[in-house]
Amino acid sequence: MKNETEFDQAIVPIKPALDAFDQEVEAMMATSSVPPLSYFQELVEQTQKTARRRAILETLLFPVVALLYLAGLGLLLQNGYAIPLMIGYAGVALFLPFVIILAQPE
Amino acid sequence: MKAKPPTKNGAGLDQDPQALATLLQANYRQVLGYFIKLTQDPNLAQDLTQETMVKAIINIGQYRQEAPFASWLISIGANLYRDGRRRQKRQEKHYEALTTAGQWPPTPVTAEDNNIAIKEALLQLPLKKRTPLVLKYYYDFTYQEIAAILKIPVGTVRSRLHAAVRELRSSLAERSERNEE
Repeated sequence: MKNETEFDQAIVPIKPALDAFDQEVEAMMATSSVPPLSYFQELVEQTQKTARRRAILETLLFPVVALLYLAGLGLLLQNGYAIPLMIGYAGVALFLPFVIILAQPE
Repeated sequence: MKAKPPTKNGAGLDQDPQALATLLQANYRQVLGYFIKLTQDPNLAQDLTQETMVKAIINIGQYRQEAPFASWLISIGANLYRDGRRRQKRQEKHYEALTTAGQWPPTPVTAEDNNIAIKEALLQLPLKKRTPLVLKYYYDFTYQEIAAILKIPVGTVRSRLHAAVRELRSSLAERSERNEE
C-alpha cells in the first residue's frame, strides 16, 4: 500500500461493514453524556495539584538522597572499607550494562 | 471517511486551567469514540479516556499547536493503551507460567450479521495493526501523522495497514463463505 489512494481502493470491499460499526459507536456515544465542565475543572485542578506536589517532593528528595549517599560513602571510607567499596563499584560497573540490556522492554 | 478532529490552539494552556478544562470537555467524545473503536469495551474506553485526560493535563506543557488538540490527545491515548497492553501481556505471561488455568475459552460466535463479523475481525487483529487502521480509516490521519503518533517509520505504517486490510478482508470473506455453506 504505497500511497493513501491505494489504501482507499483496498478498503472498498469492507467499507460498508466498517461504516456500520462506526454508526453503531456513534449511536452509543449519542446516548452517553459528556461529563459537565465542573468535572473537567476539578480533574485539571486535582491533577495539577498532585503533579506540583510530586515535583516539589522530588526536588527536595534528590539532594537529601544525594547527601545521605555521600555521607554513607564517607563513613565507609573513614572506617577503612576502601577496598570493599572499590570492589563494589567495580562490580556495579561490570554488571550494570548487562542489567540495562536485559531489562529492555519488549 | 470521517473528518479530522476539530483544531484547537493549545498554547499557554498550562497557565489557564479553565481553558484546558473546556478543551478537554470539547474533545471528550473524540477520545472516547477512539477507545470504543479500538477496544469495543465502553467501560474500558471510559477508563482509558480518563487516564488519557490525566496524562494530557500533566504533559500539557509539551503540547505544540502544530497538531490539533484532539490528535494530540489521541496520540497520548494510543501510546497509553499500547503500553498498558504490553504490561498486561507481561503479567499474563507471568501468570500463565504460575498457573495451568491460563487459557480462557474463546467467545462463542452466535450472531452472523456483518456488523458483528467486522467487530470480531477487528478485535482479532493484533493491536499493532488495529491501531493504524482505526487512525487511518476513522480519523483520516495521514501515514506521516500515524507514524508520528505511534513513533514508528512511515514504511511500517504502510505495511501494517496493508496487512490489516488484507486480514480483515479475508476474515470477512471466510465468514461469508461459511454462511453460504
